[in-house]
Amino acid sequence: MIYIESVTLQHFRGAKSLNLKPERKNFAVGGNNGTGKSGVVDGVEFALTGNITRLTGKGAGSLSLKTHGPHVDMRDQPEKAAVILVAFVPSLKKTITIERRIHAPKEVVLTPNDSDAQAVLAKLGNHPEFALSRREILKYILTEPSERSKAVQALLKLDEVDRVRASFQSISNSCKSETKKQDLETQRAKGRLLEALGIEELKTDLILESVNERRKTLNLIPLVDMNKDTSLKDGLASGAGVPKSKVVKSVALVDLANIKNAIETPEPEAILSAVQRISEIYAELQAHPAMLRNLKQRSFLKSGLDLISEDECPLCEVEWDAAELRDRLKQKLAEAVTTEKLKTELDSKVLVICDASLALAELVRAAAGYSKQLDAKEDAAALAKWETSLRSLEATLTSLDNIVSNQKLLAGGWRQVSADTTGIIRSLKEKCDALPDASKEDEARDYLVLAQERLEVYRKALRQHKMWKDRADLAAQAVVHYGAASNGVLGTIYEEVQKDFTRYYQIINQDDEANFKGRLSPSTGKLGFEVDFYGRGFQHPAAYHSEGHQDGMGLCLYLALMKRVLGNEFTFAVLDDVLTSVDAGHRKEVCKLLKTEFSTTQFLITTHEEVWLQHMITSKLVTNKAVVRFRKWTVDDGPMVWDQKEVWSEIADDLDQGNVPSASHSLRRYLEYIAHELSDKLRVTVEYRSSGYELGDLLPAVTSRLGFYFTRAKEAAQSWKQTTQFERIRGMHDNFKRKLEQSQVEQWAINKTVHYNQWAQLQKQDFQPVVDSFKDLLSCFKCAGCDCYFYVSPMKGPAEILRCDCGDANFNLKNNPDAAGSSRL
Amino acid sequence: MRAQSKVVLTVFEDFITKLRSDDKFDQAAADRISAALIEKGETDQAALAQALFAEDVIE
Repeated sequence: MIYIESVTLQHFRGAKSLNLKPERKNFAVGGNNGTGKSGVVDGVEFALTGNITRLTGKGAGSLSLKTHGPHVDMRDQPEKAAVILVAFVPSLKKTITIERRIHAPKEVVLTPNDSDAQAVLAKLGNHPEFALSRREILKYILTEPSERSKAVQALLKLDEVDRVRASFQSISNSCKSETKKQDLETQRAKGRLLEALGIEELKTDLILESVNERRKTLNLIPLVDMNKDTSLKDGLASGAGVPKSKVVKSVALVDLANIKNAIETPEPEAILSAVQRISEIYAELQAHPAMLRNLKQRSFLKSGLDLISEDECPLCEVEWDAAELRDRLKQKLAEAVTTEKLKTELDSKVLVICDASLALAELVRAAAGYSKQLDAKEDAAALAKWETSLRSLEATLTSLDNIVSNQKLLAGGWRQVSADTTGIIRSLKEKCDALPDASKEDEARDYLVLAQERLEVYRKALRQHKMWKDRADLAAQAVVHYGAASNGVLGTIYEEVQKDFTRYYQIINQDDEANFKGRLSPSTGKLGFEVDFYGRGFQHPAAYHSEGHQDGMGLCLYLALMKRVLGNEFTFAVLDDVLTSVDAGHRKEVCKLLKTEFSTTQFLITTHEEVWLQHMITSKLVTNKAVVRFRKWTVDDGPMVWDQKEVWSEIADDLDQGNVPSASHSLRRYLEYIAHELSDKLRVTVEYRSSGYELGDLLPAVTSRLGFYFTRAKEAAQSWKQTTQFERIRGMHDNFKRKLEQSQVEQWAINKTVHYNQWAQLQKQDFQPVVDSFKDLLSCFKCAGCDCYFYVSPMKGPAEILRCDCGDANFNLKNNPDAAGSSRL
Repeated sequence: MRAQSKVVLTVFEDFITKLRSDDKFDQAAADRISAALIEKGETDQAALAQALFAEDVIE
């Protein structure tokens, strides 16, 4: 996606003003802990995503971007805290500048602000995983399979895959549930039709027999067959239907008898059993408040999960890392699996009661109609109210809270019978009984009209049921196909990741684990990870492998995953102080891995270890120019890069203020730094030490080496008869020897101050000569013209030239072969 | 519209291929799902229900 050219921090985190220039190449930031390296990582992350995981991620507690993003002295002026990142976009072949300020992290000043650049920025924001810290490594290696699965899924952006799967599943479940409801509705409509037809079973011959008997009474042509369009009252003259004011006595008496039966007889066993189970589930939830709370939160959590799009809580707008917040909500939802089963059972039991309630409501609706037609308007209103109440039970019992608060309603009260309603039904029956019996023709007409009406209701219910069943089937097919697609693709991806991981790990451990194998085992919601241990079988990665090996595994898995996620667009990654426990031999191999397998990826690497930094340089993962060392950090100035001019003036200031301890500390640290630098430039040979090299190892070796080169350069000048050159080198060599002698005289002081902590006895006048002697000595290592330290060329093979950057110092180290032994000046 | 990662897009495309190769699956629904997931990047439940059934049936 991008290569970083430069990054500038202004009043940001620990830095007041800092500019680094990776210039599209690998870049290393060294320095002890507390020197401000992490601020650089934070700055890059902030510029690219508008977020700082360290302040908003897991374990951040009360930290926040807006409060703790600015430099401590600028907390009240977050608009001044900014990061400006200049990056090259290879796909666009152009450079873009991204500027963000802490007070408005989502607002970006993008230059150029065109759609291409915006698309690149959006993509970067979608891939915050370009930064890997040691803490991140652990979550790939040392966690439970379910946690690892989450971490890997988040990195591969698989949460979207899972979200879509859950959506299809939810749609399928909803359709199944609706199909079930429509099935019950159909059964009710069928029952009402059978009552109207006066038959026991809905069979064509029975229907035709019963209907044709009435049609014969009315001299209508008999029906010979039935299809979906058949009208039972076909042939009845228009307007020959039942007058609105007329009650069909026989049907009304059946309906009223059914109501009486429903409200006066004991409840059916199915309903008693459902009510009993609802009470038990309720008691269980009451006994476990956490389950009850979890269940109540469930729909809220589900909604919240869908609403997370920014790095903040969609409810209270508190800053969160979006992926982390999703994980948190998913975890809470997963905890509700047991309660979810109870809820499903609860819903099915509630449905039994709701179905009975709706069946009763149908009868009451008919009774309300009879009352109205018999001019008992008050009774009709009361019955209509009862019907509404019965129908509302289903809507009332949709949430757990309502089920809980309507316990009494369920426990026998669902019929909502009162003395008034009982009296109204009794009175209505008396009125119907008093109605005159209809003529045979009227009765036949009423029969056909009512049967046709209920047949249409039944047909509509059948159509609805079919529609929902078709939808449920379609959704179920989608679920199956989606599951197959996601399992297939993910299986392939995990296989490829496993292959790459194994190869990368073999590269960095080729000396002792060249036949290493890793194994990823995906299963629903989990990702198992095992590694071979020297051919002794697959084990948990932490079972036998050392911490250093585990660090290496974490890096390899991360790189394999990133390659899979971004492919050719994996052009940039930050490795923030990772691999601290990997031993020296394997670090070189890590450098080789990064160089060879990720040659098009720019790595920004931070480390607190000088030795690791040296490995990067010697293996040419980074060049000398692409390394910056933070020597110290102060609240006022932020990270300070090693700069000789600054060091000497700082030491001078310390001495002016009588602060000898600080001056001696700075001198010691600078000498340690410069001894490493000069060792590299002059190709110094020292005894191997696995623990690294101290000043006492390097400084004598460095001075000895420069003396050796001066001697060689003089000899070469003699052999080539270069008198002027010879004299110049001799002068430099003599000067060097004097300064070296002087610094060795003063060595006691610096040893004393650093090693024996006796600085308290030293005064400025005691320490000043020490400073001067080393400053003078170091001046012998560099060119007076360009102020750069000498270096030997080439870096490998026989040394040929001792030179400086500007070329003023260019001392041949090779003798004239023709003049050997005879042409000395 | 959310930017989909390569992996997610691969899953979606494979899913659509499976729908299209299933004679029993409603191909008009497959077209709508493809448009929602791949062209528009719509992955929320309401949009998927709309795509499946050509109308909003899930609240």
